[in-house]
Amino acid sequence: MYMLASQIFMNLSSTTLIYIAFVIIGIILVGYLTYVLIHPERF
Amino acid sequence: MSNGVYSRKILVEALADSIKKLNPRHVMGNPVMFVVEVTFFFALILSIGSWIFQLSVALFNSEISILLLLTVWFSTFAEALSEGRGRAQAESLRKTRKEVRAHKIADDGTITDVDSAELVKGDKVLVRAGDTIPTDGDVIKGRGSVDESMITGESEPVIRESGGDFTSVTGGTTLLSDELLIEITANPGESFLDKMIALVEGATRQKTPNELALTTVLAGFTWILTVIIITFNTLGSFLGVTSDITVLYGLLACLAPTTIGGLLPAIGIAGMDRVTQFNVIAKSGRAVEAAGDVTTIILDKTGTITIGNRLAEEFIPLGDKTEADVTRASFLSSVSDETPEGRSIVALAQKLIPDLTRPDVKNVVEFSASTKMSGVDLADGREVRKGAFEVMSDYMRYVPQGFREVIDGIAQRGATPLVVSVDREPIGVIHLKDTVKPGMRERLQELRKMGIKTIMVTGDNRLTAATIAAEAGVDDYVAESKPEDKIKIVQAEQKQGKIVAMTGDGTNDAPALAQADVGLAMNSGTQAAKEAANMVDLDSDPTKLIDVVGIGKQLLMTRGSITTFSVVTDFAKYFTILPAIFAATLPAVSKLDFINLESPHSAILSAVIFNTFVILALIPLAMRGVKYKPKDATSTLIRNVMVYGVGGLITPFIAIKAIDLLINYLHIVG
Repeated sequence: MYMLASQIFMNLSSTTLIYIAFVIIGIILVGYLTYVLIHPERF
Repeated sequence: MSNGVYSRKILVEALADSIKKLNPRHVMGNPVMFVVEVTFFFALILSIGSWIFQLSVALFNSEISILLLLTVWFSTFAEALSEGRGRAQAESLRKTRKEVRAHKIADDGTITDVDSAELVKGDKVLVRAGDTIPTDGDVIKGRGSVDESMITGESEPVIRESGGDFTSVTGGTTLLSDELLIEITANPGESFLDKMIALVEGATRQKTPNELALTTVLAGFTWILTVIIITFNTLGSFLGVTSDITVLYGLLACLAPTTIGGLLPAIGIAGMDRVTQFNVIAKSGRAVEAAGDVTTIILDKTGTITIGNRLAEEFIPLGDKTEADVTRASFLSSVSDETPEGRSIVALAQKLIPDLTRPDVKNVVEFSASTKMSGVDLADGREVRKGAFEVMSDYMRYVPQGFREVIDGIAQRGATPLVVSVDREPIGVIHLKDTVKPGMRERLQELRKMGIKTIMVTGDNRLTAATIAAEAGVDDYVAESKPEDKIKIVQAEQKQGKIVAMTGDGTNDAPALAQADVGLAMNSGTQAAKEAANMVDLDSDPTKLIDVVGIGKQLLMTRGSITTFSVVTDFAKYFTILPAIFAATLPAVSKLDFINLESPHSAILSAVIFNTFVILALIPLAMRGVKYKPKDATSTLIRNVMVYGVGGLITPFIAIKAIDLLINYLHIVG
């Protein structure tokens, strides 16, 4: 487990897992911003 | 009600409050800041991981994380600070709200003492001299002087009486003389004071239409940016251009409109707060914004443009009557007239004929805006009246020769003529001097410079109105108007697409106050007027409408200026961050970095530091508002573009370069 985690963090720029996490969070944010654009009065 | 701008107490409370506001559920209300906060949490996890596994980028990751957190925190601090000042004002209002014992009158007339909190709408209470008025109500019997200083700060007592426009009393004020029978108009927790406290505390604050529009634009901008950032490496890989994730979210924080996004709530709250500093309570931010857009202001002549109390200047006899005849008749007509005008007539008459004695009065005829006549029926059967020429010429048995010339002569001097008659026989004319308030002409000129049209409304005849209008410099006037006409004037202006502001205090002003885009009611006015208006002036000074318009314009300008600054500063960031991103893959791009930043990490860090601390630096401006001078729209625009546009273009280059030098000198670049 430590080895895997270590592998992930050894090279941040090319670690696919972190990049995927980054993209997923980004997509959630885009979804949230889309909701803001549709219902600005709720914010 | 005034408080220090940044008292120690407010600052400490704002610090504590701003940390509570970091709760993502609160930040979610601000799209730009929410994106930054989510990015912070992601960056925090990466930083912790980097430290655990001792990666070389650990320090850089941590620095960026801390800066992202600071960006959100400075924004919540600005919001908490502006709310804190409102809360301090609410506190001073709350002090006036205290539980007192009230003398409640039952239907059968028996009086029982109850707590003021038990009183409900429709209850009747007796208030004696020295008593605190338990809650809001209307005087239904009696007349007395009330000390309202705890609300208005004005030490001069005010008269409250049944009937007319001065019936409304506010809970927490003190009756100084006489006895009043009051009908309660508010249930517990719904009094004027309760509503005002909730308003200044921001509990009922809703986003204004302009804020909504700007939030949408900012969210749209951030949406595009987020899509670019998350697809950057995937699309870039086709071109062989990819970047560190740390650099990518640094880029997101830098290019998102965080300056305006972070300060937007604070600017709105501070705008309402500035109105409150003037002792005006705005019921919504929308009202303050509308004040900034006002294009027509309707002003009452008496009390707004001219000094409220017209004073008797001379008595002019008509026909074969002498000056002594008209002096005596004027005295008789005004013995029961408690208005300042009436008292000045009595005073002048007594000065001219010192041995005048008070007659036996059988019946008093009160003045009203519709009858435009007042007077007394004496015990000896004589009917003494005074009033405007138009109504008196119908009322009197005949109109003597030269009458019209006397009236016009007075009116042409901007004064008000009042005709006096005894038993419907014309006796003479009272010359009531009307004086334009000092400085009013200059203030109205300022409004014209700002492109605002001023309309003076008066019940006076055309000649008086025209003279005062010319003297004061108003753009237009409506003479011989009744209070009910105001709504027609408001509607006519609105039909032409104008945004209208007006003041009022009477119940018959209420429809027009509700119709106007900005309705400023006087605190001394009736409950109906205060309910209908969207602002209430606690000092009851109608001239303040002009200040309120200025504050509204300042609010809009502040928001516009900081938005311009926020967007323009992005330009400099392209020159600092883009070369950093493409340094390894596209060396040619590094030519953009003409300020020669030390390294890609140093460039990103400097840009993010600037981005974060510019919010902190602009908090005082957001609170205070940009400097505002009454000028025409073009020169105001040119000035603001120069200061905030060009300033926003140049400042970041200088600041980022300075930060870059400093952090490299201190060796703190990760």
